[in-house]
Amino acid sequence: MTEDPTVFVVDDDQIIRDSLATLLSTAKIRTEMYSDALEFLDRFDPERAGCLLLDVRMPGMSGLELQRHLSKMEVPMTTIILTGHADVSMAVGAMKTGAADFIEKPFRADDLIRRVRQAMGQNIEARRIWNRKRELQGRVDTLTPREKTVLALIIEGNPTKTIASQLGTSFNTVRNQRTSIMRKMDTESVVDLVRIMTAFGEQAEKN
Amino acid sequence: MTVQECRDAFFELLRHNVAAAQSRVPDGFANLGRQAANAGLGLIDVVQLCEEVQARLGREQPDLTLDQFAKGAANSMSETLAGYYSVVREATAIPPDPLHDIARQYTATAMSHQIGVWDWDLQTNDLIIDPSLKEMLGYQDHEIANRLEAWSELVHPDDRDRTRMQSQASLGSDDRSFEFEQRLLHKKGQAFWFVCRGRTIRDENGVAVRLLGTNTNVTAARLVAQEIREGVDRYRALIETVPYGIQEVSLEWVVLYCNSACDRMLGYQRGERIGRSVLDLLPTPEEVDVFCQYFQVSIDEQLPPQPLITQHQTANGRIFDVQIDWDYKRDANRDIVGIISVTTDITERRRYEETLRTARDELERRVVERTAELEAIFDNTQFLIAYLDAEFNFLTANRAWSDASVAGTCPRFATGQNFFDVYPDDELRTVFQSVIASSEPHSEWAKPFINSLDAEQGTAYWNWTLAPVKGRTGNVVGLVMTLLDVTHRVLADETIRKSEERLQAAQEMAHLGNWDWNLETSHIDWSDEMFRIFEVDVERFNGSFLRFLEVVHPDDRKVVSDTFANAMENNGRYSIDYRVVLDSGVEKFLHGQAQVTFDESGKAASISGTTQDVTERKQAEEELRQSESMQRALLEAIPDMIFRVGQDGTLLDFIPAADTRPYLPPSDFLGKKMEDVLPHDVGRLCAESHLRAAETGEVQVIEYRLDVDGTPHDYEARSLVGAKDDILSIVRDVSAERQAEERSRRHRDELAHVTRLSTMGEMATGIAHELNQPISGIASYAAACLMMLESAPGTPHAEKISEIVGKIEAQALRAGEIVRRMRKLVVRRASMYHAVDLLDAIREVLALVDSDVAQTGVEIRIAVSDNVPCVLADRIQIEQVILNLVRNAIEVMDAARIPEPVLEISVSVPTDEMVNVEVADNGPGIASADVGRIFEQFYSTKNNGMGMGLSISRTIIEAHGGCLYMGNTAASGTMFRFTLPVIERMSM
Repeated sequence: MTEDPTVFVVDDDQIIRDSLATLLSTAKIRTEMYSDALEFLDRFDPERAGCLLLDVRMPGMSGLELQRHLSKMEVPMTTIILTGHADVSMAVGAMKTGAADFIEKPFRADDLIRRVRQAMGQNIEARRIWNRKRELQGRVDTLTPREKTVLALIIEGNPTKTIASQLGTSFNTVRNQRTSIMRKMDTESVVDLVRIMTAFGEQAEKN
Repeated sequence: MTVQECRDAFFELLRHNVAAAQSRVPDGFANLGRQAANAGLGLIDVVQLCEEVQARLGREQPDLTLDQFAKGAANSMSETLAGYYSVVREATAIPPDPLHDIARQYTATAMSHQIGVWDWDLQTNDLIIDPSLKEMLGYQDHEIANRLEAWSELVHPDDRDRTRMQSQASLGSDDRSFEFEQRLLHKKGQAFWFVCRGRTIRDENGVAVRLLGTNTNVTAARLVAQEIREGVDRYRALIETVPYGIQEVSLEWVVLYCNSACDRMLGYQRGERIGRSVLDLLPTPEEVDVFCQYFQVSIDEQLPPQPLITQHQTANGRIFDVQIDWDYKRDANRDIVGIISVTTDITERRRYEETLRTARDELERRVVERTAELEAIFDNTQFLIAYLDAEFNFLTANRAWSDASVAGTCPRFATGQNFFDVYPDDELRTVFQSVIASSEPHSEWAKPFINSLDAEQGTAYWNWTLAPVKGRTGNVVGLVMTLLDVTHRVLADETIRKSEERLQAAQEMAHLGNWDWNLETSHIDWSDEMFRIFEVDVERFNGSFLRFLEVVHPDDRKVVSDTFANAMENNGRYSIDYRVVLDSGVEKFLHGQAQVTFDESGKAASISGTTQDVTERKQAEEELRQSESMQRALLEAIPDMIFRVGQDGTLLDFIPAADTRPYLPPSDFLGKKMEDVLPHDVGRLCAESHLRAAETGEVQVIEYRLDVDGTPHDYEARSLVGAKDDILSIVRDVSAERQAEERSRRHRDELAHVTRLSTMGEMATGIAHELNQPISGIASYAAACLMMLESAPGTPHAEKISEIVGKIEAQALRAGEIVRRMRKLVVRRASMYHAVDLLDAIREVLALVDSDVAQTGVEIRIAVSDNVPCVLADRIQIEQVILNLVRNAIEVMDAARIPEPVLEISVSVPTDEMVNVEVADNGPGIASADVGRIFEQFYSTKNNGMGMGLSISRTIIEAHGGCLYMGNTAASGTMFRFTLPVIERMSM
């Protein structure tokens, strides 16, 4: 994904869309405009990195609802809620639904641009981690069930001998399995394996 | 006719009769006899002259044959006597006396030919004897030879000599006839007297050659004569012995005869008075005159003898009263020659008469009295009495009868009228006849009588009796009919019978039986109901006290028998409730009352009482008692206190309530006046309310506040007029209610306020939002311009433009600030989140729109799923939303004039996390053109709507983390749905 991150603007107000487009394009930020949430959901490609600018008040699906939808997706999406009226409850609600940020109209332009850039950076990072995870998952998926079991035991720090006795197999079998695992997982050392898996597990936990 | 004349007449008749050789001359002798009787000849005279005549004929006509003579003679006598006798009988009509009997016998004798003739030829000594003579003596003709010797044998031995002498005498003398009596002997030995009469027939020399004669059986006559002599002797003796004085007095008042009784009566010696004047007996000259005159007149005028009452004096001079019964003494020519009198000393008689008169007067008086009494009874009795003769003719009736017949209640008769002519009734006639035939009275009770002449009278009832009246001979001579009007008694009996029936029925209905126990005879009488109560057959009734005790419940036996014994000894009455267990196992409650009757000695003689089956009543009482105790419990359980207050304000009675305490303890206020125990203003309020209640009779409701233990309590008092004009005040502590009402009111006020505020707030928000869009646009555009100018400094007037655009941006941002500040001014109430029960919220809202619902007639339906959890929400705000939706729906349906508007609110739980609330109406729905815009601010389909409601609602819902949107309904109409996040499940 070499494409530049995009700001997806979802707002039913035409002026807002236009003014944002003008502003952001002037700041050399790529934008895409949608007038309602359903249209966005139909058309957007989750693989594309970037962030969303969602207006809260929209006919049909509201910004918050869209936000909820998106938060359920696997692909990390970073959203900034735009609202004409803000109060604590809304803010809390928005954050709870997984929004990254919250901007009140009218906003200061430089404030908006800064936050947008920040959000995009967040998204790229999040995606990278997510892709990595996906890849790892793919690798793990190639393990046989036995190998998965051995992997889990390895990560726990059990020596081969212990694993063998615990599983009721031979030392050699385990050693062969370990080799297969490391090859499939594309690591060179047990330490790497453990490190990768640990990070993966955390990520998995986070997700 | 004199005797001589009679004699001559008889002779002529006889002579003629004999000469004519006829057996009888029709009526000749009888007439003669009658004449003789009418002439007053005595019977003996007639008999004698008949005999004389017969003898004379025999003498004067010697040439008569015996046969002729015999027949004529016999018949003549008998017929003469028959004629004589017939007159005598006619004249006197007295029953035959012995003298007449004898005469009759004599006549009979004569008629049976009691004369026989004989003929003695002196030369041959043949004595031809009449066969009838022989027959008289019981011989047949051939049994006695016709010879003197044979005849002599017939003569009684004592008379033979005389017979012979007589015969000889007559032979020898010149007399041509002879007559003498002799007895002849009957064949059977009896001696009969005969009068032998004969005549001597002489030849030319005068020598007797033949004797010819008759023998007449005079036995009867002799008997008669003897009788007569004896009779005369008797008569004389009688005369002498009778206690009456019998005198014969000549026309010169000389006493010719005076019997001994007379002498005794008058105090003279026997025979002393013969030849003296009877006038000596009369005490005073006046009486002498009366005496003489009286008799003289009678004699002169041949008056029939009438008794004379006068006075006589005895030889001693004692004067006494006498009655003289007399008759004329007549000679053979019927001339009066003297007076024969019977004198009776009537002194005693007078006394008797006096006594009798007195008695008679007394009797008369009594009779009169009695008659008057009887008449009084007869005419004043209520009995109708009528007297009929044996042919049922009406003789008399009493006044009651005539009154009743006038009134029309019984038949009306007139004297002489026949009963059955007026009241025809064959059955009744039969009865009357049977009474006469049997001489037995007949009575009937309560016989109905319907007056056929006057139907309006109705049916009367009579007891009637028909009694025979017997004459002296014992036969029925009349009938007495008695009627008694018993109509009212019949009706009364009917009434009594009906009343008894009703009593019976009443006893039955009341399960009340009565009984009588005669202690002396031990006999117990039970009414029908008693048998029913005790379930005993009448036939099997064996009443005794012991048997009774057997059925009494064991637990009650002692009480019953003690009570009974106590009554018997002491007070004589008892009243007791007890149980019985009958043979069938049934248990009954009975109530018994009885009264003991004591005799003179104080001993109990009888007991009578009533027993009532009160089982049902007991059960009812039990139920009532239970119900009452339940009621009481209920009353005490209700939270209202009840006061009873007199008209003057005195607190009379108090029923406490379960959870409410009165202002003061009851002991502090009962009996005192309200104004004395209550605070002044409350007391006055109560008094006024009571007064109004008493005046209007309507319930008065007031409220007041009292401090109880320092806590203010609100009371609602309802006062009304109770019994006896007291006021009943029902007081309820309504503090809690009032507080709740207060809270509710505040709630509503708050809601309204909040609604107003939120409307404003929402408006402000709306405005703000609307403003923010363009302001934001301006700022963004300005910023973009600035950035573009920065990156292209060579742009002409770049600095200036930048400055101006910078100002634009700054103003835009300032505008936004202003908007923000303005919004802050309209502070929305801080949301307070807590657990909210949606159903409660819905109900609260519906309460607020109650009047609108009532006015528009909307039907509200609520459907709530089971186990709807609470949501985390601000209650007021949620209510705002529901209120808004409900109001919209109602207004829409009303505006569209939906005939049956229905508002449906439903609460469901589609997922674990969210609760669904739907508000649906059956209004016209939202036009498709408006669908997208309804949530917009300031967008309204209503004429005067601000268009804020739905946007505010959505804002609120979204703030809660829910969604509000419009859904589709199956029927036409509109449905709004909002969701709210569930709070963690908590049990309510």
